[in-house]
Amino acid sequence: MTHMLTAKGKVRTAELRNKMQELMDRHAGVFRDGMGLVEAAKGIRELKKILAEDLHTDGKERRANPGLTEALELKGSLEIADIIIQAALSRNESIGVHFRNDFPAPKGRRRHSLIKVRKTKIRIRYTGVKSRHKWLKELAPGKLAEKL
Amino acid sequence: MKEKTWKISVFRFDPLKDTEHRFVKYAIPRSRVRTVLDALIYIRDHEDDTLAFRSSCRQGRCGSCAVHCNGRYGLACEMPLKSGKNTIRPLAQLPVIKDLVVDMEPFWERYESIKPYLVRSSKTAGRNYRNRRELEKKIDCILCGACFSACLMTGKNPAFHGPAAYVALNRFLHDDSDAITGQRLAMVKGENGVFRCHNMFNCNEACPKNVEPAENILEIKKNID
Repeated sequence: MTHMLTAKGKVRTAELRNKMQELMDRHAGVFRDGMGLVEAAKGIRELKKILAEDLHTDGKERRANPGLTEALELKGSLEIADIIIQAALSRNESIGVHFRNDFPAPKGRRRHSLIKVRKTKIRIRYTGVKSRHKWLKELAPGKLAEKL
Repeated sequence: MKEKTWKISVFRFDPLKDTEHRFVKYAIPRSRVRTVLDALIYIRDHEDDTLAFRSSCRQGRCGSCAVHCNGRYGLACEMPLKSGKNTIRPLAQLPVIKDLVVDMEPFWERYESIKPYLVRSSKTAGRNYRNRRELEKKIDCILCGACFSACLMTGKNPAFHGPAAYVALNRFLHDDSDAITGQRLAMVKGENGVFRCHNMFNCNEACPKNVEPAENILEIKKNID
């Protein structure tokens, strides 16, 4: 947090935030594809670098400093954006609201993504989905294909 | 061609650093900004990110962005900017924390003191809201504090509950299932109670949700004998 208070770079938080919003809107929105997601991941990495090295904030105080709040919020948003992109990239299928143009159908067993962040590294694990209800089992990817 | 701008003058004050408040002038491109809140956000994003103000929903629902602008109180997100000078000040009658952020504690204290919640007894427990329609307008209050600041009595008399509190009180007077109507009326009967209101109707003018606190106060007065 301290580096944000003494940040004497050139780029304002709002500018970075707008860039992130544009990037996510274009590549990680309703329709996604591998190429776009890779590009978005690259973009987010660049934005993270700018945030760490070339950020500009006007206030130097911890108390009632909206500039600091904004910068911290942006830091969190960038982290989440990165996680969304990485999780979408590693899921080569379309299921629920996650739609990949390059993989338009569900694939294999249904699974949950579990994400762990250590320092700067994002680790993705999967756990199986337990269907408790019969109708949910009927909707499972394999069964649904059989019915159709 | 040079782009047209809004002229905006914002109240700046940091009680821990400054001895006196000051007004800082900004010129903001017209094409990007429409309301007072837009202007404040633009200033924070592009001019000076130390400008403190509260905001949340940006659509007149949450009640966190109440300020004084161009001679009236209201929600910054709903107030349009005018050509000429726009002066933005924090809510009056409340201590400033920084710039446009005020300490709402006095407002909440007085609001709490009238018990703004339903108290039921075993007798009233089963009752339904037969008069739900009557309550509709009263529960529109979003507790922004604009009426509190516009009211001259709240500033003069710290024991006066303020318009927002009386709206809540009147809401429970109209509620069939409330069990402590008598206690509620006794609470506001006294010297510093509801009769301190001199019907200036400033609260009605300030209210962004048209709750009409002054009418509510008059209704409470009618109930007291």
